[in-house]
Amino acid sequence: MKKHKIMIVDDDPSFLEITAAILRRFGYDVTTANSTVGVLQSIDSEKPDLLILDIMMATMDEGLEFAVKLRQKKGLERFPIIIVSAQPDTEKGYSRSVEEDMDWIAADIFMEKPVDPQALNHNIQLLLERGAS
Amino acid sequence: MDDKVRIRMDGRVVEVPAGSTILDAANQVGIHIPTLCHSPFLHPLENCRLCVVRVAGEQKFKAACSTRVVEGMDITTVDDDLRRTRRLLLDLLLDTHYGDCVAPCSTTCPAGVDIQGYLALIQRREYRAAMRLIKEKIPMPATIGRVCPHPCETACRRQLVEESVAINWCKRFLADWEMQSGERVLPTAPPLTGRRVAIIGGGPAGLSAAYYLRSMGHGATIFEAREALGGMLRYGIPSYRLPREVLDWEIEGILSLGVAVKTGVQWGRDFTLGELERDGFDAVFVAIGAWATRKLGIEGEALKGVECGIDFLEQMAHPGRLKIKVGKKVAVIGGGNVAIDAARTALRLGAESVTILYRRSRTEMPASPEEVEAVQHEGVDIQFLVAPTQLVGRKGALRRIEFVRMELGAPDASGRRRPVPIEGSEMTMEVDQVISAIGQYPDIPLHDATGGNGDGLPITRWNTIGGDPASMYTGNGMIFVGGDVFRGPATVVAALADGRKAAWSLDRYFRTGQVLSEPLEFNISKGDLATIDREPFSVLRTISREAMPHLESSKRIENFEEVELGFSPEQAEREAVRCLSCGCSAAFDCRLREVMNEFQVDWRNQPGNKVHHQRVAVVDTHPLIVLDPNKCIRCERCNTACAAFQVSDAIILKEFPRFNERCVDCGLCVDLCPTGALMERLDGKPVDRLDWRTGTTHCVHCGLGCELQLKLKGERLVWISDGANHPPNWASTCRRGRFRVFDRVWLGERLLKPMVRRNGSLRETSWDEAIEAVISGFRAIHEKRGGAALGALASPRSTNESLYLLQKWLRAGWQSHSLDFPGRAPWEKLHSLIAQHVNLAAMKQDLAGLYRAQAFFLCGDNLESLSPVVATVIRRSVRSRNVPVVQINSHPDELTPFASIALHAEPQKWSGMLAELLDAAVKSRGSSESPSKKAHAASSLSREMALVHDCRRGEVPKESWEALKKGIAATPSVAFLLPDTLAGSEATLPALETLIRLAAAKAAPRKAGGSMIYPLTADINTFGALLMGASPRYLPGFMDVTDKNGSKKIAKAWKAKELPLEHYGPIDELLEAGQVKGLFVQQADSLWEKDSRRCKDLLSRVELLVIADSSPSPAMDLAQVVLPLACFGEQPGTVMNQEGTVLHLGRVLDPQGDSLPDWEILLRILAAQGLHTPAGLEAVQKEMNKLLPQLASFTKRK
Repeated sequence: MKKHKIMIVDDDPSFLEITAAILRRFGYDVTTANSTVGVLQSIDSEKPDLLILDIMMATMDEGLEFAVKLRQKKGLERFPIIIVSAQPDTEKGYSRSVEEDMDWIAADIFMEKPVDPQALNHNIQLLLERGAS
Repeated sequence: MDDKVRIRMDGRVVEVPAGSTILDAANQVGIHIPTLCHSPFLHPLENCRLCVVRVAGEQKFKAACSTRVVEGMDITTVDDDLRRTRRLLLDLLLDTHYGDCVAPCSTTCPAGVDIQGYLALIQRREYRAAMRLIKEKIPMPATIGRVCPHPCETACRRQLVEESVAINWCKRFLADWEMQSGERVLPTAPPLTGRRVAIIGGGPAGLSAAYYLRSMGHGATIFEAREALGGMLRYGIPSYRLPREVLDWEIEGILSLGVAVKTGVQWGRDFTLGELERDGFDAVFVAIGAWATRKLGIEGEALKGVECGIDFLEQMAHPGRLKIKVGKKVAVIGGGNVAIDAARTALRLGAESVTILYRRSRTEMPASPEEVEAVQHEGVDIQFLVAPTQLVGRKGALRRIEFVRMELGAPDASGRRRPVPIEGSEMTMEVDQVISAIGQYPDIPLHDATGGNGDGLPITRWNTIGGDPASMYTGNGMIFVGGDVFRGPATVVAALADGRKAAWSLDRYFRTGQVLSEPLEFNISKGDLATIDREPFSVLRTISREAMPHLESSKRIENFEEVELGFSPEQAEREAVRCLSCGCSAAFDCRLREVMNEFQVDWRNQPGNKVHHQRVAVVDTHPLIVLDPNKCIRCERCNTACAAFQVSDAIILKEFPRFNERCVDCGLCVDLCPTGALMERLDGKPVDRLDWRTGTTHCVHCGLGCELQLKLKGERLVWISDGANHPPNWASTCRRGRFRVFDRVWLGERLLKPMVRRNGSLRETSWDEAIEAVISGFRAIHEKRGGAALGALASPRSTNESLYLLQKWLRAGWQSHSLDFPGRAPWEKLHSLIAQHVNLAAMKQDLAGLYRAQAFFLCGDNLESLSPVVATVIRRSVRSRNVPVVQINSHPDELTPFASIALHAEPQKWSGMLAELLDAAVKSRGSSESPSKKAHAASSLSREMALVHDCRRGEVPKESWEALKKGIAATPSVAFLLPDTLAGSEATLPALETLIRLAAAKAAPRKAGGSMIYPLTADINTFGALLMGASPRYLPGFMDVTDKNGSKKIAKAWKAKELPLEHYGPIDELLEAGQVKGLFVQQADSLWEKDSRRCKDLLSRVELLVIADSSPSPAMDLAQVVLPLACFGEQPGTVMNQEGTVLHLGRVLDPQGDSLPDWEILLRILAAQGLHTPAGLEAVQKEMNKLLPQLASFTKRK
């Protein structure tokens, strides 16, 4: 069976390193990028099956903006995206639930860092199966 | 000095009296050691163990309450170990402390409003107080009462009975009442502190910050980008939900506190944060809201006809709104309140069809259920579980929307089933307008976000400004933040709460230089709706929730009139009664909560370990005290105090306290209970113990004048506790002072306006006219019949000042001595007897002397009912000091069991018995018996005698009688206590005189603790009334009216004509004889209590009756003029208690209506009549002091 390919975009090198290693052990092909620059082209060329995306990179909401841009491309409207992001300390007062924000966030699943590898794998499988059906 | 020891406490070397406990020592040097069971009135109980401290050299911690200091002791009162130990002990206590400190509605409310409190006030129709309470937390209740999604109601426990209480509609009712009342409920702004805060954004958060900053004296300037204030309230919420008049009225109120406003200025365009700082603002509060709309993220968003919900709604707020373009077929995307508001607005603007497309199902819809119901009612179609995929247009104009149906997918790792598109379910809908409302975010100027120099504001992933949710501080410079720019699009109530919290921490910063957030309040909870024990709710009677009256829906969609019409007062009251009062009434003076607060933890759910509610119901039967065994921490204060301090033995503590029939309702246990296990009961429920302030005054319900602390909230008396541990009552009170005896005047009907009888009926009028009616009426009688036809009946509960002025008015104004007061004749008799045999000084016995007395001699009946606190002091002395009590009266009473010798005989026989004792005492004084022999004789009065003898059944055993004679003669310091009624009856007068002679024989030398005499009386100011000259025989200062020189001197001081030099008869005789035709009566209502028939008979004989009263009385039927009198607690002034101490009454409440203090009424009369009038209370006192040099010798007590 063909290995699924997963792309991780995050500006934190250690997160990239660790997550990639974990996902490889789960049996995925993994590619990584440390910013969203050029990622659209990479998706075109490398054709990953799923994207794991950070939010805060060069700007506070780089990931969110990028996901919208991606989903607006023809053929990528339903491209599976999992957002994996860390809550900064200063955000404690934010009182919307992620569920409410998922009405506009261009991703399928939102996970707060640190992520549990099993949970991440569960969600990846869920989205991959959905795409397959 | 020998009696001091030097110890180290927390590293400080201090000197404290030898023999002190560590706790006493700590209190003396201002170091706080927590304790729940210790009370200065009681021996150390050592039950809570919280007061443990570390003593150097000791292995175990020591209890500070019971360990005595020794020279060189080195004590540590707090360190990590001690804190851990105390926390552990508290956790153990809390394991069985089952209840709710604060009701779940209040803890759920983002603003933390005291909902239970204002619902209780609605029940009592105290709307202004309720409004004040709300405004402590919410400055815009009329708005919130209309637009809040009321999470409080979602948490309401009433749902376990039937439905939640309509809390928000009750709040709206109060706010509407305020608007209609014509008088705003606003804080009085204190003097300016000189600090200025720039508030960016004039929405709810900014307005709230301005309101609270101003109420704390700080300057506030709002910078608003739009043309008017209100933010989303004005530009986002349609007027059918929030009428603009309501919003404008509320904003106007906030601005009236002195808030500066600049509109049309935008942050980033017109100014930066740096510029504000340069302009001299001490801090900035950023509250710009979240006005930018999240993109749908699908193709076609740029088409004409696609717009944002917020922009669409905002157009409505601008003039010319009727020209707003609305489509024929409108689709609204989103499920929040903005989506619903946009849909309802589109409908009202004439759209033919409006459809809401929402991605999830109805249960997830963030809009409030009422709104969803209303929009469907008005004809809007809501499609759930659909997601737009594309917007399609022609020539740049929108034509249709494509969307896909969703279903809930398989659970993700968090277990949530998220909506996923159903393959092949794509659909299209013809539309010419799409309004997107899927979320908003703040529009933050780039310059300040990045800070120019890189040191910008903390921006979050959601493009909001971050900060600390408790202090609202951004961590950057002096910049605070709140509202939607901080939380993301959230509720108005949360924004208002942020504004208040920011104001609080700004105020704290200005005062301390530190950014601090409000301290956490510890709360326990019986659990949320899912976990709480439901059984106690199942037995409650159901009462259905009141429905909100609505505008008919056919009428609604034609206009923007308000849809919800508001509750009537009856509806609000019926709804408020549904409140289950979940929160503890003791929450604001709970010592347990206080010590938990020291640990700054805010929450602890309760274990199921509790006393079953049916068992609680069985023991909770005291008529005045609520007993909640689940809150008892077994500190044993209540039963120990009841036995050792109150000496009633009315509480048995086994597992928890229980009352027996010996309880005298003194209330001491309630005051000492560190938790809410014992609380005051009012109307069957715990008293609504709101967060109060304290006002101190003195009780007027007997001659003692106990110090009382009135606990007040706004204009409302919430409860009463006894005063501090000092005279006259030394922390004791009785049922009268402690429990609600004053409610009649405070909660009952009051006289609020002066009234004058015209054409047979009393009509309300002004003070000037009422006083004119008094003077002209008296003048007419004076002209016809002379001064002797005019009289005044004073009240022994009035202030000295009013009594003085009353007699001055009658004497100087009308040359009449027809003055009297109930109880005057016996006290005059008593006074003259004492003056004859001892001297006036003997009357001025400090009740503290009772604590030094070596024997009590009680003569007469009903001492306890006359002065319960004196009876308590006697019992306590017996129990703690083994003081012998001798009682001579006519029948056994509550004090008899405490007596060494109790002799019950007919009053006529008392005199003979006393004469024998007097004889023995006189002989003993002359004898040269050795002190040791005397001491031996005195000890013969010991309690062990316990002789109760009914003299009607035979002679007193000779041996006992001899022992009594010897004992009284030999005891150096005997306190003689008698009811003043002894002087009121011919039968007891001889006994009174003998008793006074006996006391006199034993009085000297007073300095060495000589004997004392204590006449007890039912009215607080009997002595004062006599001293002030409210008598037909005496001028002020006991000066006989026939004293020519004295009379002349007084008349001269008053600049009055010469006064008559003759004694007048008692007023009842004069009235009976028809000689007095014009009469002024103080507090006629209390006269009626004494003898209503005689009172009515006498008062109907006068031509002109003037009464000054607080509440309606039957005398009104006879009165020509009724003057409204401020009641107890509402008027300052002095009274003189039975021991001769001058007590200051506090004005702790405002007089209701037009009522005035008793002395003020007389000042106005004197002035109107052109008589010599002192200018105000102090001037009256000055005049009194000048005329009555004796006053200086009396003890005074604030």
